[in-house]
Amino acid sequence: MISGAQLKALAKRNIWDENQVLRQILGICSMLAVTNLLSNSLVMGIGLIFTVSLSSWTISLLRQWIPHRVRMIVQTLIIASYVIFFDIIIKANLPEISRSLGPYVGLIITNCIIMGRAEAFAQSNPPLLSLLDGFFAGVGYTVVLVAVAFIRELLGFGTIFGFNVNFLALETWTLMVMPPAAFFIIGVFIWILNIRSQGKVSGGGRNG
Amino acid sequence: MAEAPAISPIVILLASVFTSNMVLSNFLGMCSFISISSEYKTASGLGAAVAMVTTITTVLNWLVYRLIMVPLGLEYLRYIIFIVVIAATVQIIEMALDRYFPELHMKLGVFLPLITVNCAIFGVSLFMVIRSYNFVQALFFGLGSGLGWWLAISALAAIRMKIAKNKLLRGLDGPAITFIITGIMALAFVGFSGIFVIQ
Amino acid sequence: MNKDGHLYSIVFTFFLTAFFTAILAVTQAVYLQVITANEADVHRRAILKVLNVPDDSFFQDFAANVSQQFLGESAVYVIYNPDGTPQSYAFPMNGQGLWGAIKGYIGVSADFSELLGLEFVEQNETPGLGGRIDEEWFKAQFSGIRITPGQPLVYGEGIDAVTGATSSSNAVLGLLNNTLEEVLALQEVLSP
Repeated sequence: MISGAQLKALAKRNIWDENQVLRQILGICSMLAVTNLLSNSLVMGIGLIFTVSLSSWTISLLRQWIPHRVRMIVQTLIIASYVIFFDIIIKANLPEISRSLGPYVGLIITNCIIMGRAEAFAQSNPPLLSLLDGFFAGVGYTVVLVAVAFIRELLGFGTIFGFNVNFLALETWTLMVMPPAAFFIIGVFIWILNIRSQGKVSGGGRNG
Repeated sequence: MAEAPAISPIVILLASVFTSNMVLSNFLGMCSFISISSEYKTASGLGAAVAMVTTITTVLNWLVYRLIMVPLGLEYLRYIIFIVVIAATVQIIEMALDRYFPELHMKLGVFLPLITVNCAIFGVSLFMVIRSYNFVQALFFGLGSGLGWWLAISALAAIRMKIAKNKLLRGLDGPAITFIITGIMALAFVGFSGIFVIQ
Repeated sequence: MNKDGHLYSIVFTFFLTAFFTAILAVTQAVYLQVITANEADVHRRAILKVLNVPDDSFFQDFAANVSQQFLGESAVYVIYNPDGTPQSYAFPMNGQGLWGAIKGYIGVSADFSELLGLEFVEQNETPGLGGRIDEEWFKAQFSGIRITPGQPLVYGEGIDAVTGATSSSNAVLGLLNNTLEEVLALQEVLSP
């Protein structure tokens, strides 16, 4: 079984120390495009957590039987199946959000984080641990995504989850809604993180 | 099946290179875009490989989708089938290059495995289906998106090589400045909007 | 069986594919009806929105409140006043954006003098750029505009285009003007 301390260490490592987006610079692809609204980002984040946890679990479960030479294809197949499943579920239950996410749900398949966790962890670890590893990697990712979306939606529309918080009716910042803003915000996040970690470990290099 | 939109293939080509660049406004193919752009030659090689694979797989996926999946009612499996087609194409291109164009294989070979998980390539196939393009439109969309990706990564690598010699603020080097440069590039590309006349 | 042999790889991949495909096929079959119904709802909500009836009871009993008529190929949706005279009309509009089809509805008043609203049910423009045509502020600009035959709408006079998305904005305006022209031609047929 997994102890509480182990769980905590895994969570800390995957959400903070080795955050996939900010430290490893992975998985930025599919999702920045939808980070101008919080609700969209949150649904995409949940989709990623769902897919990465369950595909890690499945791959770990089958790890003794997966033939090495077709490993990538088998992993992709498993990942794609979970993504399609998620896509069908939100189409049926959250039609509005599904409509605004459009093809971006499908792009979860090519999110490097999922394949990355499968290759780096699930292949050589027991199922439950792999599930948790995937879960926390997904959470770490979602936290960054939602943080970006929070800034973009707040400054770009003056709303949070669609609720108007722009009580002073200030002019909204159009640039924040447009794609370049996502690059700037992620860049600044990484910068701040670098300064912090360099301050702690003097002269320490960056990960990845 | 929805009818193909009446958009000129030339407009699609230009728009996918400039105004709606796959990486700069759709954020697709970011992983390799950031990690393999510190050196111009390598970046340009990867860009060329992506452009080639995108064009070929878009056409193949269009054929598979229209001729096999739609008649059989298997549209909901398109994510799986597209990705398998892409993986297989990359594999075949690699073998063909190795056999017939060994020189080109030396240059592009190392990038090919990276391409299978490049979201830009997969994204182009998905977008082409959703926008119900006809064959020629799909071809030009694939070509334009590939060229646009190539242009973006070459430009980014060239800029990064220029600034590599300069001293940056603490913690800004590496990915942080790369993202900020990309943002400025994206902003510049937005400026291309409006050069195409529709209708 | 040898785990790295060709035969094993093929058999393994085949069975795994069959297994996952079966699960997906079942899921798809289970939800197909809900998904189709959801799509129809999107159209109904759009029609009610352009007709300025946010009332939920209209949505619950759409068929009783909104009458669908056909004029040749094109459909028109009408809401009637209690006395039986038409209150407002909704017309579908279909055209091209920068990237693909744009589909939606417009609402006009019974005397065809006022544009009541504009709503999209499908658009494929880039999120954050052309995709912003689907934002409320953009669509709201078209509510309550006076329709003058022979005078197409232009940006600048009370209507703003989307920043950085000239093509998509122009596409919407062109589409709207074309649709209005067609709609005005239908006026005589609808209200003699």
